[in-house]
Amino acid sequence: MSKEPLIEVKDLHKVYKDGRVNALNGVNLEIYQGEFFCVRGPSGSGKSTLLHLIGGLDRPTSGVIQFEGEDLDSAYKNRHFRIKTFGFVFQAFYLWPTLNVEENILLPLLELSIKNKEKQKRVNELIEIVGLVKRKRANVRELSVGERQRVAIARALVSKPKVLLADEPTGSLDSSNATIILDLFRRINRQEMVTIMLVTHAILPDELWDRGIEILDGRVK
Amino acid sequence: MNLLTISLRNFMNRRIRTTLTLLGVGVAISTFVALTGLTDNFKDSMRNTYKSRATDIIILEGGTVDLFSTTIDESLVNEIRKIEGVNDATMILADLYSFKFKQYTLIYGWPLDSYLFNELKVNGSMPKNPDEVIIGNMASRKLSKKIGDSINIRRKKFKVVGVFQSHSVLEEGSVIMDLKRLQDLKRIPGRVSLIFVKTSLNQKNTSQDIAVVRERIQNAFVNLEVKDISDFVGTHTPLLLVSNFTWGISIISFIIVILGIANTMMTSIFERRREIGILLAIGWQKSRIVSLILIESVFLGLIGGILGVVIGYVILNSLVATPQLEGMLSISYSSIFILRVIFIALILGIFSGIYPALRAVRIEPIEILRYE
Repeated sequence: MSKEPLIEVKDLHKVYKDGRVNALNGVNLEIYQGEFFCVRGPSGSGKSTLLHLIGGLDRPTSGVIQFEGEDLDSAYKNRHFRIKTFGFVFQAFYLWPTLNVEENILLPLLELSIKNKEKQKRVNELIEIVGLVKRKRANVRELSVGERQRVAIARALVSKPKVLLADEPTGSLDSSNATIILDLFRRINRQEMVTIMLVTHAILPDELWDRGIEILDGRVK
Repeated sequence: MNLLTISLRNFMNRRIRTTLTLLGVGVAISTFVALTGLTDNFKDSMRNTYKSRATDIIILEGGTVDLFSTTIDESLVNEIRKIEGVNDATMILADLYSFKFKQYTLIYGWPLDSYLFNELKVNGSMPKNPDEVIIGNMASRKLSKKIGDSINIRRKKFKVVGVFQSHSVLEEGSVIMDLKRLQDLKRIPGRVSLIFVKTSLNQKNTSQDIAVVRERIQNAFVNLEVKDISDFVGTHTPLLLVSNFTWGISIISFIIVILGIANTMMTSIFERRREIGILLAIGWQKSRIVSLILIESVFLGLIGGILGVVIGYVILNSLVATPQLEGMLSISYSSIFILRVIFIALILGIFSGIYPALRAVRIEPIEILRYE
């Protein structure tokens, strides 16, 4: 683990509804390169808001988020910063329903200037990692929920991001599928050396994650 | 896979909506094709009529609006022949006669010694007396008359002595008879519709030479309108009115196309808010989303345009086959016109996609995520 944090969050505040809801109230944290970082907390505690702010999907009311020592606002001036830095996995998968498995995985690469052959190679690698080789031409509507989440994970990794941000990735899955997905995250973290920030309300096995925080009412507990 | 694949999959996923939109666009574009085709063919027919008669200048009564309302004193022809640069001049009288209910045929009265007969290819013989007529190929078919048959015009019997071919569809569908006899039948002795002028050095005439002769005639007869052929066809009042009407209807059709495609695109974007929002979340640039939406709207415009050309020509052929227009027009399939229509459809597709595309990029991923 490197000494300099990959992501550093300082005194982060997020206020909604004209100041009536304090979603985050002075959060500080550091995530290091290669870490499996877990953010736990009950529903409405502010953990998803924290993930959205770190991923640049929303803007903080105040506070600082730095990536590799650079402010996120400044880092976003680079056109492809998000696609090369963050991969997103959500509870609801958000796949493109008219496309098949490999086409869904390919979607982020349409934004990047990469040769078609390389794109296909990368997609094939990930299809193998997530174990969907036999289902690669299947429409995503034909897949089980566990398979859909594996497609979403492959899509998040296809652009080789440095950080995988996962928001309740097992929230829609039964326990056996949840175990498969969590194992997959661990494997990706180890084999692909991708930093993972996983947000969940569930209690995860300790051997899965390296470090974590618990959030309650917008504060680190 | 590329943006086109995503667009096509979207259309395939919504087959009924896509088909209905394409049909709507096709029908609207076909209105433009049919009306413009009709007007252009009419103009071409008129232009060919006069060009094929080796005529350079046409003279009509000042202030009149169509071929049937203009009347000129026929004695002016002799005075015009004396003007420098005029090789010959002749006159015609035009009439529209209904042999059957709502089935109109053009009747031309030409002097039997007119130079216009020299340019005509006739099967049979030229009319040698006022009781003989010649008819165009198309009129022969339409009226079921051949050489040797008799034909009744304004309750007088005439003998068909020849069937002629012409470059002009207007003439092909007409009957040509002696000028004096037609004047008598119409009860306008000494009056003609138009005077045709052939300038000197006919084969080599440039538009500049024709303009000089035209100017001389105009100066000599200030109450007449003296025009070259293009000018005559271009400023022919009924054609201008039809042309303006055509454009008016076409603009309405174009607005229908834009609204139709935009409506389909807006519905499609509303349905795909989640997917579009997530594409933005995973790092797609707004410009790529705009491209995706524009590809879809251009596709609808383009395919709708092609469909419009097909439907338009079907309508045009049906119109030309009606008794009212039979023998007056022929359909020419101009590749330039077809390309022009498809280009217009493409531009309409782009216009239709602009607002939906701007709406699509205003989708905030965080709103989708928070709502879900």
